[in-house]
Amino acid sequence: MEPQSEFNICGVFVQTTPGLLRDVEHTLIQTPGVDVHQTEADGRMVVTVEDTPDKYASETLLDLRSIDGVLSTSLVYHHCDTASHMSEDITS
Amino acid sequence: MKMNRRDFIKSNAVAATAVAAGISLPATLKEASAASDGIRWDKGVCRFCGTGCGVLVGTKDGRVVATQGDPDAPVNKGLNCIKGYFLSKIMYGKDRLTKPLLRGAGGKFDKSSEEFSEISWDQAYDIMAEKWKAAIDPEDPKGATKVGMFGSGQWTIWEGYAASKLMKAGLRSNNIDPNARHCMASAVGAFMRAFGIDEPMGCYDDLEHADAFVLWGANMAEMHPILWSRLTNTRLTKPGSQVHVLSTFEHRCFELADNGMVFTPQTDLAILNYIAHYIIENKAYNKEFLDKHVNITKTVTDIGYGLRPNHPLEKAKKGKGGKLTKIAFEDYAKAVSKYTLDYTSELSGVPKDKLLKLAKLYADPKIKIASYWTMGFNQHTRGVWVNGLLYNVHLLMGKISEPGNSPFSLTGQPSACGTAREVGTFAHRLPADLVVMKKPHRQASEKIWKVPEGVIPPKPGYHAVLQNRMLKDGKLNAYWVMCTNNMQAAANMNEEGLPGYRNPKNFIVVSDPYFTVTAQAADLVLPTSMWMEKEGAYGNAERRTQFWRQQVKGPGESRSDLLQVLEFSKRFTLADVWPKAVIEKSGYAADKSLFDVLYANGQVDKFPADTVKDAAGNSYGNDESEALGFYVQKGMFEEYRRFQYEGPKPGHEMAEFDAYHNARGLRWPVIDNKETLWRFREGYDPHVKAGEGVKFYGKPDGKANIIFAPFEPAAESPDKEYDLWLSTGRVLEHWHSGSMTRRVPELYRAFPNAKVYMHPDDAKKRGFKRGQEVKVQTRRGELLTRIETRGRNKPPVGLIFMPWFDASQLVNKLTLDATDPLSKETDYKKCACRVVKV
Repeated sequence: MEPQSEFNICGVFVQTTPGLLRDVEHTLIQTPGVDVHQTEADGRMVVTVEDTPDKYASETLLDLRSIDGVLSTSLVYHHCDTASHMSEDITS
Repeated sequence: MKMNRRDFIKSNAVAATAVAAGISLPATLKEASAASDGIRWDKGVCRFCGTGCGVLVGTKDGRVVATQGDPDAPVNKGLNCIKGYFLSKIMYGKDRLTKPLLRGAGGKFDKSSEEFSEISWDQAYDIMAEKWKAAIDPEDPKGATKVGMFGSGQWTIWEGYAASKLMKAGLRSNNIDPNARHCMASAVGAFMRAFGIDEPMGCYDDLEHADAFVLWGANMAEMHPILWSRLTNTRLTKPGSQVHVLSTFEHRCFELADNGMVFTPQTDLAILNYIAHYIIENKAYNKEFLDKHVNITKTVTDIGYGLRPNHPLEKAKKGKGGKLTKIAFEDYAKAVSKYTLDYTSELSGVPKDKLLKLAKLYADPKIKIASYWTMGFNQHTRGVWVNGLLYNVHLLMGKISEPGNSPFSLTGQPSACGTAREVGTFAHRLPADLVVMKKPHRQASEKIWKVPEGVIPPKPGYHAVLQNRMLKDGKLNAYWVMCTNNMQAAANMNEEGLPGYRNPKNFIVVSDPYFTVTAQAADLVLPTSMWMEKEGAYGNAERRTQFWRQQVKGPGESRSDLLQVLEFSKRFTLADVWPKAVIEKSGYAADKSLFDVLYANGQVDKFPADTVKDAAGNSYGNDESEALGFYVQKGMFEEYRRFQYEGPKPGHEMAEFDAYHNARGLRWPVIDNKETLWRFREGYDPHVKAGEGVKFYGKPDGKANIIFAPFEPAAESPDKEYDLWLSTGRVLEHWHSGSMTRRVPELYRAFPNAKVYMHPDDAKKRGFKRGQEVKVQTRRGELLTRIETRGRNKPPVGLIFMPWFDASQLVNKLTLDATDPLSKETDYKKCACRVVKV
């Protein structure tokens, strides 16, 4: 992947077949750029996807759909900012 | 609390996703996302398909940096599809146009030159005005037939309105047509014939109310993913619910289908008549509904294929037009009785048990059905017929205009409904469902527009396909294309489109944010501000009108289409465009500008150019108001609303301008600020009075039309020489011609080029391997592409599918410009081709 000046972070709502929730979670945790933040027993998951040195967030996002047990993925939040700004401190 | 920006953005992403998913988060995560990081958030509407998803747009330092699904938007309830990922990127492609470009070196026009040079806006309007005036004879009783405009279902409402007004009431030309002609015209034609008023009676709420869903030539999973997720949710949570999918090839929706059917192209006409036959044969129809609310008719048949008049198929036709004749129910029953299960199964290739299952579904009075379609129905040489045949089935059962029972035409562009259809940018239309052919409609329009009687020409202008033919024939000479990539989109580009644009008699102007295939064929290219670079409004497929404020400035010298149209109108005086007698009758001075007559008319310029503010007190720019000195969008919208209240056709009412900047859209008709979810039914639609029950008030007698039409073959079918069907269409990753999405580098990487989807047996028979480069040929042209035998689209033996987003593989060199003779919409789904080795 060519060096890039932008950095992408996505919030993604993933719906899984309830019985396969843990399998999907396991696969997602091992996927570079993906973090699982919250899961519900009925199969719903809150996931973030961000750029990695090898892959854009969008490519990972498109790949998620083909994981066994994933029924749907919906992009909820997308931020695209200058990569060099990502490590700046923010005070809340 | 201290954290870096990346963690902060992630916590925002998590918080927003949890809200949309209905999941509660631990307190620590909520706290982390409370900071603002200087981002201003405001509500907007997605730039892509006709679903009309609400998006929140995050702006920082004059740039859109973030978007999220709007949790308060009823359409998408906080969710977006993958296309949401492109929204913050489409305005920032590296090759955005920032200055007007004229064909020729050194700012001097040269039609034969390959080169473009930068010129000023003044110079651009100068040369345009010179070419337009040369093509206009103000005394011509037919109006200005040599000038034309091609517009868009991506225009904002006021852009379409301003352009249509300039053409019809200013330049006296009906030669304006939108790209929606390519996608929606058949749906419009069928609405008018069956119900006398345009657009669906139901709404997206039917996705939750219906018990069963039938897809007729719609790949919702890829083209309308948010609606598909709502449909999926109903299928998975409502016991007994079903999904039936019909298509000429297998696509993603088949994964959820309880009854997936692949049929031979064009035989949808027969399948629908079979269902009607089944309902009648089993006496399942709703007699009371039919007696009270329905007229039974038949249409003229053997009407040709909308090709040039000298084409053998046109010479051979026996019928013409769409005249309806009333027939008895028994005659209708007899007409559909030909479509038996055996005959229909053999013709369509669909197994009998599957057809029977589908017919039983429609015939069961207890099952509520939502039927959906897009281009499979509309891009069809019998598009109006096939739309109508589906209404026949719903009307026979009375399954219409109530929650869950909904024949619903989906749209592909964000404002195909709100702009192209509702403000009347078609060659035959005027605002709010009025048409140029009817004198009372012209008179009402002229009165509201404050122009003298007789200004609007009574004859429909050139429709999309005819515009390209007239350009080629040298009868249309000054032509403006806005907000669409029609060189890539129109069929038969080799024989019609390109020769038309490059005809030395013609001057072609293209307004676009990017240097598209169409711009490359133009003589003058105007840089356009897009989406959040202007204040805008779109109307989606469920009659929902939605507004947004201008969030950022366009790059360089770019201007919105609205400002381009209004500035251009300043270049004409009445003497340039109207007959002397008409000017005298108007009482206007002959040297008054079109701008003054059409826009500074005391109506459009009525509202002051105040600063635009949201409820939180944030201020927003408005480049058009700043340039012209009045609140252009508000004035334009309020004048347009007068058509809804003072025009001869009620049922299109909208709320006041300001209401839409507060609401997440409202579905018309809006009466007393209340939107309408289901039209034509008492209790839901304020136009239906107590005791009337159901009233199809678009028709004078309040009754809808069942319209019998038979199966007739496609314009071109496979034969010995060209042995395969070619069907074209879209893919999830790219939107339409790709002029925006192909500029997002990561998307380009994910799906860089088009390919041809072929059945493995067809590939094997021809000795092709997956990924091999091949040549696709038709009688009109050829192109190089690669074979795909796996993946999302699985064509049957005998048919190939190819998407049209790729400017390096122009599939419309291959397609035939056959149209529905009624709707004038091109059939992009059926022509004959062959695939050969390179």
